[in-house]
Amino acid sequence: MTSVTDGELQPQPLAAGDGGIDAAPDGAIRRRRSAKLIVGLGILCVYVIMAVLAPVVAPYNPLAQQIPDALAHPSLHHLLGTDQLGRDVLSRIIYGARVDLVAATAASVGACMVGTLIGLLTGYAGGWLDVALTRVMDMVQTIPSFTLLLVLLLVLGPGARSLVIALIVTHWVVYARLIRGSVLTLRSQDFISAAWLAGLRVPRILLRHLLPNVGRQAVTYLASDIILAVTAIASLGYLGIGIQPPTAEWGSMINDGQDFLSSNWWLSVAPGVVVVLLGLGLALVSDSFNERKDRL
Amino acid sequence: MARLRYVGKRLLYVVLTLWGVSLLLFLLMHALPSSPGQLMLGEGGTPDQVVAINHALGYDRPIVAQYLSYMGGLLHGDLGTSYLFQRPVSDELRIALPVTLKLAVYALVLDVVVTIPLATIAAMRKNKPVDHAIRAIPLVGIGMPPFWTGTILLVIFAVAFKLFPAGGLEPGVGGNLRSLFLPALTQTIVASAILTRSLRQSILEVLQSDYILTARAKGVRGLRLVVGHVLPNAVVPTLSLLSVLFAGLIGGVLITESVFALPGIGSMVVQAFQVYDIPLVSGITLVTAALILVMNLLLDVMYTVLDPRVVLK
Repeated sequence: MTSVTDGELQPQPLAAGDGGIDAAPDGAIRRRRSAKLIVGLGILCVYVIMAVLAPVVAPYNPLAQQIPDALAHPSLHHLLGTDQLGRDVLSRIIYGARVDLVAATAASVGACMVGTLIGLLTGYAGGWLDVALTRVMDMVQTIPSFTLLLVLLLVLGPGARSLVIALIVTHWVVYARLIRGSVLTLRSQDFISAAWLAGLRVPRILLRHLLPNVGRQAVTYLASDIILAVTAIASLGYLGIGIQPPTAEWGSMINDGQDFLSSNWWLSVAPGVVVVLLGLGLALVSDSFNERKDRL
Repeated sequence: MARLRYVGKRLLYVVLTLWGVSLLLFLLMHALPSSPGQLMLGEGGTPDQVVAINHALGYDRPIVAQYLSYMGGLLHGDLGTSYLFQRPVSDELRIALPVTLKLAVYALVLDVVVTIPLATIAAMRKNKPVDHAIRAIPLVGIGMPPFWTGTILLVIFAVAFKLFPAGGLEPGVGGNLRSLFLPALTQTIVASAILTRSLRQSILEVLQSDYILTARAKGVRGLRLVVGHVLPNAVVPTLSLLSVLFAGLIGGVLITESVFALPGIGSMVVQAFQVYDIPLVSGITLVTAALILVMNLLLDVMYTVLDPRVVLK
């Protein structure tokens, strides 16, 4: 029987698995799952290579301006043309991976660690600590993450480091809720009681006995979370907030291109496709993780 | 009676959460690296001018006194005075908020219009090509930032085909519906991706239940089966998902407004952010939080009305 609890927003996995009710033959599901995983990981590999080997792969310096060549159409010299300052768009997209992908991954991994730790603590300790931190989580989730990000950036000032910290503050809650929920069900089980009776200290129980049993969930959500972080960073870049020019960043590239939509539409479309494809890769990976989890 | 007590309890919770949010905002705004005087005058201000402005704003008083007058103002609906517009924040919000609300409601309606048929078709044609096609939409949709989707829609429908205005808000009901269509659709593309998936799953679960077997045995088929028997039971779980999505919807709407140059609170908060208009930024943040809390309360109450099996706690 379902019940409505006081404003408890249970985090929903981005892509709920389709296990159980879709009773397809076992082999077919497994094949489809590994195909998804391979395609997803393949896409992610391309992005990682772009970020790591940017100086080798990119044909031009992303910041080098060639004003006479400004707004050139795609050609063999500039595969995706040049922007309004004559900078090579392809090179800027490749270098953009170093900004968007790296910042998003740093923020999501940071949020994952903070959230997991708080989830473990509140779930295991219970009592006033749990009540207080649950109320804090409610408050953070009540403010739309976009406005909360703006408020935090106002306090922290511009720059990539502020952006990552602000994203951690807005993203940790989902992890904490996920982990807290699982810890609550595990807490009363015999192996935890046994660990406690054996006189183990709390940090050891949390990290060695609880974490291995609940950590997988947090890591599964990580793939979906990176998508949210990338779109958040790109959205802020688009609005001229966060990562400052002239750094190559996908969101600000889309914004720059918007003045030339009728003549050079690819200036906006190409960086957007790059974001969407990254999202697709991460969604495929998180999807196949979720399907695996449902079958366990 | 139980419902009334439940609503009362939830309202109390709404008030407490809002108080917490306002306290958080107050503290954050006082953690700013510069004082309001420095922010308003920028590099050009002399120390005397900075002190004068801080004094005029009451920023030089003890923090407890400032908090008390801030809270006193809030209780009277006074959100402070915008530095940028030199007018009360509540007046500015009265103009901008309706635009944002219209867009949010429009997007919600479009979500329903798009989600129900897609999910029904996918569920009724389970594991057929059309099901796979519909289920692939979320994978692509999820990575689409609203500002980019909005730009693409602008290029296609406003610049190339000139079917819709390329930005701004036309007056009148018809003008509103026309100029808000593309922004609302932008929002729907992401939201319906998630909603379709959830609704499809619950339709599949309902289809396996005994009462559907009974209905089928009585000879109920086709549209009557779907509309009369399946959907009323299947939409309830998705409704609870809607309350989770609503916060995301408001966030997305705020960004979408900037793409389409709509004069709502989203465009306003970005403008306010860029000139460090602290009262306006925190006022808008507080109002959006209130909006989300009230909306979630309404959805939860609706949930219990639609599904009497739900137990109120």
